[in-house]
Amino acid sequence: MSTIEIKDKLLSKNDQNALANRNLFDRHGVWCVNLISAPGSGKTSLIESTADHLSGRLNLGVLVGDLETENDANRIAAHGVPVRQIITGGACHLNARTVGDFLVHFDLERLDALIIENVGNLVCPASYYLGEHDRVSLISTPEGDDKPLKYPGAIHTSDVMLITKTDLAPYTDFSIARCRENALKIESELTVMALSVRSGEGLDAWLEWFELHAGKKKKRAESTAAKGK
Amino acid sequence: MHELSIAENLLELVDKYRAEKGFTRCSSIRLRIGLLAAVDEEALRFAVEALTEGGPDAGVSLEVERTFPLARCSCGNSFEVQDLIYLCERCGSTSARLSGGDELDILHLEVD
Ligand SMILES: Nc1nc2c(ncn2[C@@H]2O[C@H](COP(=O)(O)OP(=O)(O)OP(=O)(O)O)[C@@H](O)[C@H]2O)c(=O)[nH]1
Ligand SMILES: [Mg+2]
Ligand SMILES: [Zn+2]
Repeated sequence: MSTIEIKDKLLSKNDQNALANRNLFDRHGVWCVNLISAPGSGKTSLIESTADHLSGRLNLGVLVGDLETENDANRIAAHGVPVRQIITGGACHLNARTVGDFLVHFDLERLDALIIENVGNLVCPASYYLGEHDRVSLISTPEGDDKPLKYPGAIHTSDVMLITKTDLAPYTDFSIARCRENALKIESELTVMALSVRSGEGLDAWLEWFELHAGKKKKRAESTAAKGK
Repeated sequence: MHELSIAENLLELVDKYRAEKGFTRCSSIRLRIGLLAAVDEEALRFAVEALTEGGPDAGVSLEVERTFPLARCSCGNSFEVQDLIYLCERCGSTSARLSGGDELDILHLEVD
């Protein structure tokens, strides 16, 4: 019997596939954002609203992961955005290899931003890096303001926590301040925003954040291309 | 579900090392798993047992080293967080910030 020392990350293969995706995004000047949340926190609604508000300003593409059905893709397609549905058939998260396989369906050169809607689940998707530039976790007000503490992995790996459905907050005991404080305990660098796609409250700040990140990426790609000429 | 796909990734890594190092059986795997990785140890053991059954690594044992995030309080106190509802024992504040505790690493294999 002998011992083999390894010291590797358990998900190193996924990380390698994710880096390949990331390189592809960077080569084409596409900014990629990965949305993760529990089922029903409002990911698809946010994408629909974002697509409507940024239509004519940014070229978006959307990749949606779901256990079953094409419902979300159909909803998003109605907003005139190129979209592909990944049916995971039971897997509770997207992995980098599957995302990579689906990227061939997009005209990346034309896209400014790719939004990935992960499978509704606030635990598993957190461990699987897909190659995104930014990760956004959504927590809706009916879920409760202690959720960042119960799902620390998602919060810890996110760049932004988005509190959604603020229009419903008056009917719950949800406190935005407490939710923010709980999240900052886990990840002190986190950007926290709150919005409702129903009332429109807070949407401007989200759209501004989104456009800033997608726009920066685009400019950088253009200046690299110009230098190459 | 989460644990199943982690177990699959783990056993794929074992196979990769089997091809590289030429051992026949892996009898034990040592892992380091942080609190923030949110892995249920029992579910992971169950998945590994189910996936190795009938193969060369059947009965492989998992040794799991758990790690916890370090909290740094604004009062200067640092302490290990075992549970995410935490409090600084020195000043009573609940606003200490965390670092680390998200490891999901494979450390070594015992092989024949
Ligand atoms: N009141 C209110 N309802 C909302 C808001 N955003 C989404 N909803 C509703 O919440 C429900 C779930 O929203 P979705 O956008 O489908 O949520 P999702 O995260 O995409 O769900 P899954 O893909 O199934 O995980 C729908 O009935 C939405 O209409 C909001 O800001 N306010
Ligand atoms: Mg959805
Ligand atoms: Zn203190």
